[in-house]
Amino acid sequence: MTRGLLILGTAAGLFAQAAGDDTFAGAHAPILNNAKKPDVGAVTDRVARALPAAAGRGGKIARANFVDTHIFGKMERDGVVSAPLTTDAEFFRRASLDLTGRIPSPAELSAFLDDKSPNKRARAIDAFIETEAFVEKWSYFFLDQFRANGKMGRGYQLFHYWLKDAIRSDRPYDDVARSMMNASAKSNLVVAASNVLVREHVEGKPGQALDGNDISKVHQLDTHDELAIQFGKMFLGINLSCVSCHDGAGHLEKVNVWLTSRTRRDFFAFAAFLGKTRYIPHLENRQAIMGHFIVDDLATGYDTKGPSLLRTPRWGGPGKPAFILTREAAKPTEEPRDEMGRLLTADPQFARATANMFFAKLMGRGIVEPYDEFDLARQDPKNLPAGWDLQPSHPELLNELATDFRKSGFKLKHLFRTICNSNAYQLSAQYPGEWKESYSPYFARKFVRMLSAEEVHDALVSATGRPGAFKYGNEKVGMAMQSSVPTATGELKSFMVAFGQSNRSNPPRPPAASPLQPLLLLRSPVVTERVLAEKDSRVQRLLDTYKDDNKVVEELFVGTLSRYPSAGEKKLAVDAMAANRVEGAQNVQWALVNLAEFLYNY
Amino acid sequence: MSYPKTIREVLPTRRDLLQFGGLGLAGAAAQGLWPLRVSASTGSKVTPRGSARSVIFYEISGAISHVDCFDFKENPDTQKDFDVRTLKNGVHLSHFLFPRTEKVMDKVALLRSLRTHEQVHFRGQYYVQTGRQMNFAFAKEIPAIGSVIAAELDGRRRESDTFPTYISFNLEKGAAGALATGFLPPRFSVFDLIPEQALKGMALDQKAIELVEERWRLLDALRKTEAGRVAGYGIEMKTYENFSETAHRLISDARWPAAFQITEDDKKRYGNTSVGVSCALARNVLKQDAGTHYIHICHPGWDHHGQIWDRSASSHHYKLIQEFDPAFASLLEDLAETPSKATPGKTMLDETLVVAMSEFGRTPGPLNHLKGRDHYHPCFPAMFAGAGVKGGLVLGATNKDGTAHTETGWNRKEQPRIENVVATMYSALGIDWTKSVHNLPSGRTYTYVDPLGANGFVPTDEIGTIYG
Repeated sequence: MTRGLLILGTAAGLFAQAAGDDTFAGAHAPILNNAKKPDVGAVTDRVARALPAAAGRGGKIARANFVDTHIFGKMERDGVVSAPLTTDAEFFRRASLDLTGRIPSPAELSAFLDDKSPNKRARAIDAFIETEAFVEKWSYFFLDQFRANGKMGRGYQLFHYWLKDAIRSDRPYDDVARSMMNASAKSNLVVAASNVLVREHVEGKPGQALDGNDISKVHQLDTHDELAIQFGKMFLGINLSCVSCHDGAGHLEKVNVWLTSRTRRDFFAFAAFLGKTRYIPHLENRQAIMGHFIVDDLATGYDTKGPSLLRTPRWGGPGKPAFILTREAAKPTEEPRDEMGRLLTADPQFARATANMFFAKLMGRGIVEPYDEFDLARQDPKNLPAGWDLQPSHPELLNELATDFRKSGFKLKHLFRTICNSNAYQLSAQYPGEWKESYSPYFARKFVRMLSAEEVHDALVSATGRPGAFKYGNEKVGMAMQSSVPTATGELKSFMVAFGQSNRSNPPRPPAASPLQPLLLLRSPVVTERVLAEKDSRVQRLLDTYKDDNKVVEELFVGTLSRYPSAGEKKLAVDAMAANRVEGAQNVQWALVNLAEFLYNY
Repeated sequence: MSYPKTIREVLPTRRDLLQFGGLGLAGAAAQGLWPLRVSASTGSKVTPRGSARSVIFYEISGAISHVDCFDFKENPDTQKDFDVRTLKNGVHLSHFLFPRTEKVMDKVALLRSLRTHEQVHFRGQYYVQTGRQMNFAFAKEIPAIGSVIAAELDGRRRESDTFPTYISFNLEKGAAGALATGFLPPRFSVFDLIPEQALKGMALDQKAIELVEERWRLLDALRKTEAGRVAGYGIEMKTYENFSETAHRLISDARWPAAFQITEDDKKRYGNTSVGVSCALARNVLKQDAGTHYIHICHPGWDHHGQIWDRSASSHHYKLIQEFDPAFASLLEDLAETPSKATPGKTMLDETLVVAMSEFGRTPGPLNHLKGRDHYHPCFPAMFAGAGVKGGLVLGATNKDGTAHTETGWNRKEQPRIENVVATMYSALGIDWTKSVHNLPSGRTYTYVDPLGANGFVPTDEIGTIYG
């Protein structure tokens, strides 16, 4: 018995990638990969648990690309054991969530599990990337990052449309970034990219109408500063909020070595790229209309004598723009914001920060973590300040990812494919032996994370077949990630907020478990309405289609948890339907969305 | 003081995770932050008062006009219908606006000389909820005051306590939203409730309770069959399942749905408004004495830069005051009349500190060009009642037109600030407010009351003068 398991184990370890070919592993792939037959599931579970012991050190898993070379290489050098690869079902659900924000449909899942062809995982990744759901999820991500809300007025709709277009067509990301930095518009309702600038607008003294008649009186330093911080964070992964108020020296010696070398004047010089820009609200009856602006370079540069609401007094007089990383000055013959875009996107840190950010989103943590807190003085292993550790867990990997991203033409889809096709991405969350926190920087296992509020909602929709009611422009849409701004009210709002939905105004909250969440899942109509056998829900359709309760249960599991039930689970669920089919099925559907598995990306 | 610089230094060992005065930090690894090796310390020479079992914080959010209301000053735009009267303690209050509150002012200590420096709602309301200035650099780590209280009082929770320690009403309607637990574990997070929904959703009839129980049995059985596999995925999902148990215990506790029933009489007395219902529910929750000890009631909508006394506007001060007056007054009345469960011979008001304030004041003098008032930070009032507060006290004073303070209202020459209100609340609950927590993920130290108020040091004392 032990021998039998060991053979299976070794074969699976060596050939885990080669499912479907003529080898022993290939022929047994359907069993090893937890395919359809539920009574095989129990065996597979035992095999899966035995697999890690046989998989041994990181070296046994194939290196699919350069990501693996670095990640498994480091594990091997330092003697850290990796988790095994995911099962096919685990992989498919995970990639679907990571790339499209949705759980897979039963049909998609079955097709994938039945597929015996080689490279089916790579083709699944490609297929996910080409879906409209991919566009929706990642445009929603950028809407969150740029905090699109009512402060953009109705411009958020156009901004959303523009983002979707950029993602769908895989527009070079450096081009997208530059167009945000240099946007000008008579109206942000007409020029999509200008909404990024408009969003950070800081009002002047309350109650005073802006003096549109004399632009020289209008300074808007606070807005320039907020935008400088936003671009620093979003495109360079650096946190400039500290030096926006004071020098790094004397404050940040124990926090960030590079920022310690930067002064507030450096920050002013960076914000000075925006110094000529003015964000002038359109007026109606002498009151500024919320979210409707002219954005253009209308005035003289960054003058530290201007008034401010949000920061301690500035000094130093009008500043000349200089790029904060290199202190390189803007060419005086060029438009300052064009120069900002040029200098920023040409700097290697742009590619590094971007690659690291999406790596963090897909892998659960960045090579530099958190991804918006780079310490640029601690990136080179050969050049570390005394007493400090290297910041990136895998500096060569970060370099290679960044170079690869830049060489691809800053194509996001290429970056996603590179990361998702690595076996490092495809490691299981099930860890052999005792897990230690010190293994985290090795990416030795998948980092389990809770679904975002929008993902939970949309998974409920997919699982139960009962869409939500949101708006995208003038259209009605069923998924939360299809809408442009959070507009939920009432019960739905309580639900979304409990799962961490941001209103794009407050500091962001990472989705984390809290006691209010299960309370809502137990009782909220967001859940209790959807599990009912009515209005063409999945429960209703299954009850109508199948006489056999076993089939109903199986499909509820596949549709909700993206896996087949174990024998024990099946029996419990079928028994629950014995007294009353309809109520029983509803209860099973309810129980499935209350399981932790449903709420987590593992 | 050495700060962690290496990965190894921030990793917790079981020995290092301290239980300090009930500040349970085991398992404090929050999603996305390093695992913590925190330690807490205090150089304390203060003795927390411990006169309150609970605190209710009524946030008059968006800012009430102080010169028209609780620090009345005659000005060119004082409305003709105000009918301002002078109370026994010398306070001037509009009888027309505050007929009910007028009757409970003998329970209230009125402090008129608070000061802040924030002038923007989001930052001001953040300040009120966390007791410190908003700083994006470490905002991720900063917990709401209620969460700190939940952590501190965790050690006092009894076996029978099922209610969350920290509950709020309508916080999500405020500018700052319901803030997270920061470096504290998620189990200390707020239950932010929308009162209208809580009435519908939390009160369960017998049939609904039975359905939840039936479903729970199936859920529990399913969990048990797969417990091994799910445990293999790591601690996060197990933590969630623990919360699920907590939620089930809460929902099965008959006291919880009972807390969310109000009578028609309640609706009449408190007003059938969102804040009226919030106050009635706050009373109910505390009355159940099932574990809740800090309630933040957010009453949004006061930001009248225009048309502040114009009844034809869609929102104006008359409207908001009509919501405030019956709600606030009924709350104090009911707390004063309800005997305490915990201490015979005392009332709920004896054991509950009630604080009511805005995040700043509104511009004194004549109205602005839009017939409203704008934000005003140099002086604004706060009200305190219960838990040993001497009712009727008038502390601090402002000048003739309400533009500046003339007396600070306590034994320091600086004006008291929100930090001192926070210290007062901690002290009332018996919490040592001079405590700090070290080695947060950013390397910084979190002080319960931050002495580095913007633009300089601020004293961190509690406002002891409210106790007479």
